[in-house]
Amino acid sequence: MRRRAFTLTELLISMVLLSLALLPLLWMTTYSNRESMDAYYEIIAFSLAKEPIEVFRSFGYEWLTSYTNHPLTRFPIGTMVVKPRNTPDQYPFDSELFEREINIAQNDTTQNGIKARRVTVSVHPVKRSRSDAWLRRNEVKLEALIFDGPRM
Amino acid sequence: MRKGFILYSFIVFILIIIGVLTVQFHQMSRQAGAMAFRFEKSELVRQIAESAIDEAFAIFFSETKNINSEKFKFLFKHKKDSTLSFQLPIMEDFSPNSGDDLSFIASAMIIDFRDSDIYGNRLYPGEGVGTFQISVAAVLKQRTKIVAQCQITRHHDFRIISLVTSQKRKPYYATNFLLDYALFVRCGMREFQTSTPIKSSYNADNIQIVVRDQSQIPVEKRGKIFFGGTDIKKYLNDSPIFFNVAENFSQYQELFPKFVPKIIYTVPLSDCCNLFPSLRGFQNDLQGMTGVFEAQIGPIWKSQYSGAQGDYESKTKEGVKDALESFQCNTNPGVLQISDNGIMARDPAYAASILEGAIRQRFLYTVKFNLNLDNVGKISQSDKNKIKNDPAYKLFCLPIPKNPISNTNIKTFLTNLAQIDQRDAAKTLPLISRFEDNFLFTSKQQNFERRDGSEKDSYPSPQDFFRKDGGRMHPFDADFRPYAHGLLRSKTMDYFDIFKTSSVYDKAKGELNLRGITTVFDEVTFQGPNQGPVEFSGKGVIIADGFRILSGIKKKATAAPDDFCILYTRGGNITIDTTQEIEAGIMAVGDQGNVIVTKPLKLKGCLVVDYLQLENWANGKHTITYNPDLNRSSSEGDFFQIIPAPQITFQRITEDGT
Repeated sequence: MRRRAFTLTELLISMVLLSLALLPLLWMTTYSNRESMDAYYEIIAFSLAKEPIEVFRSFGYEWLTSYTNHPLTRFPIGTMVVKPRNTPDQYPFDSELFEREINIAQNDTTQNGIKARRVTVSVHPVKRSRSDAWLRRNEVKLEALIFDGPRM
Repeated sequence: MRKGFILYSFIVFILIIIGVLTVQFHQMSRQAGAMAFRFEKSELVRQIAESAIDEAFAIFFSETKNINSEKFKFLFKHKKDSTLSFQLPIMEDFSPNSGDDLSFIASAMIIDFRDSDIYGNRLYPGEGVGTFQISVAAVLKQRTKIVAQCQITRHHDFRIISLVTSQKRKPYYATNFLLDYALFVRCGMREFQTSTPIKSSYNADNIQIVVRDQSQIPVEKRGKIFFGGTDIKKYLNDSPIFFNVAENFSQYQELFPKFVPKIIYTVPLSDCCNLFPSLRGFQNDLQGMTGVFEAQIGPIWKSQYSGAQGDYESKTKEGVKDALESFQCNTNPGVLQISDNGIMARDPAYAASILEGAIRQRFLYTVKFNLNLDNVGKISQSDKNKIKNDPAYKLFCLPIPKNPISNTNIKTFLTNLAQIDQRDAAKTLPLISRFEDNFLFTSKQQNFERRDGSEKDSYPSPQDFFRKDGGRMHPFDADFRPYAHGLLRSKTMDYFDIFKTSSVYDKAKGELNLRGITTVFDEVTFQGPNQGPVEFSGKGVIIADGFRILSGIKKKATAAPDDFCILYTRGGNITIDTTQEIEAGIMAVGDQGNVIVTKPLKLKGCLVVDYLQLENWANGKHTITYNPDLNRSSSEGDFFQIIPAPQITFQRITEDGT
């Protein structure tokens, strides 16, 4: 008795069909993975950008205008890689995949006697790191104005 | 056939499962992406809104300095639930990312206003503590779509205080009422009458306090002079405070009451015999003899007394002193001058415009007695001359001294003189020498006439004031506290070390930025950089445990013309150790506050103390130039200041977006 089996042709056709069915799924998975990782790194980057601004705002304008005289080691002017393993702060480990650049404007923005100092924080992925691979943007940038408080 | 079908079915099933999971994963990743986007945008807008509300408060804080600004009027009216919209110019120019459309809505609203203290005592009308709300909404759009928005609402308190009250409102004095005075000595009468050394009784030969001429200042805005305890309304039976007229003022006849006669009274022979009993045996021979009293008025203090007239004046002065008590014996020149041309008060209207209470000048009224024998016919001319020039009959008319008199002739003369003086009450002039303090400073229009002490001349009494307890009106007395309402103070600091680096005082720059009432629970030292003055701007009061002023205090060139500075200590001392001008009101009052002046003082403002304590003053001339900005006329109205407090009493953040 002769057993029936798949012919090679049938097998090839099946594989092609299966591949056609799986390809979009594969593409979706890849895309989704990229999207997720991008969101993940973007949130980390944005959190890193927000941190010095909130700290500076809490210290206030007067303190900020003389910041170079008493810089905080965690927030140096210029570029620095955040090293979560070296600090007691609870940064995500992946924070070290980013460089943070802090700049404080030299001059005030003024209007009718009211003064404010602009703070700019840019966060870049470290070159050839995972964050560089996954994050679509080259930079996450946040700016804020720190206003001169009341002089009483 | 059947196996194939099952296999295919299984593969399709697996594919469907994988497909579903893949789609699920895809949706999750899209959601994560959207969440990351929203997180970024909402955080971005929140940061912007934080800056915006800081700007909104800064605008309120800055613009409420100006009493004509919209913000000042809004808070000053403090109509509950009223709202005010305003712009945020700096933030409106701020663009965080190109392509984003950012807009702001800023508004303020009055929440509450309290015009009583915690005990329910009403504050001075217009003063109080309120709460206002600032609300800022930042809206981020991309094209027409709102990507994110954040609204921050904050509550701040604000204080309204009357820094200077106007004449119009004087019946309701605020606790700043002492600013009306160029010189105010709370316990003036007590110090004048009881202090030792005697120089504290306001007559000293080496100290002058000159309140400089205010005749160019409108009457309503002149700084007054008052010594507590001389309020005739309240202290009816007390003596006045007097300042001895010195010889360098005697050229100004306006200082003295009109005094024409030299011979003021004549008594008959019988009275002469009573005064000099030794003449009784010669009454028949002396028929026609009379006794003549000659009087004059003049300064109470001269640098030297020479000749017969000098001898007469100095002996009379010493004789009068012998009959007086403690502070009344002080014949040094008065320390106070109410104008700087070397004269205390030449114009009665001017004096009346700045003086309050019973404050007077004291001068010397001298009387001497002579026998007049011109109409005596029974004795020769040589005998007449002999009697007339006999020192025994040329006595000074003095009061009876405190100590017993050993010379019986003088004792009889003075005793009988007192009787003659009392006998004729209609006499217009007294027959006994005295230090005359019954006339006001300027007696230009007054005739000098007999005063028995029951008539009390006085300048107007001070206004009643609005006191802390219960907001009732009170007569002016010792129980008061300037700037008493702690709830109206804008800033409090525990130590000078904090104060000197605060936004109020920058010691390094030597700058004072004043606004409202600042309290420091410590002694404050002012010393400008490089021996220069401390410069101030703004209007305000600093209350401290004491002050040491080691350099001048000067208004900044950029300050408003009517900016002023008040330094107030309640129980401490204010030590002034500089010859530079101090452009400030100096107040050491409430609990034995004093000033210590180690060098000639140049004060532009006002001086308010419990006691002058002149033993703490360096010798020399000290000048007080009253600052008329400390006193506002009716037309100017009160000067109210609003101080929004930076402290946030409530905050709400509302975020939204797509």
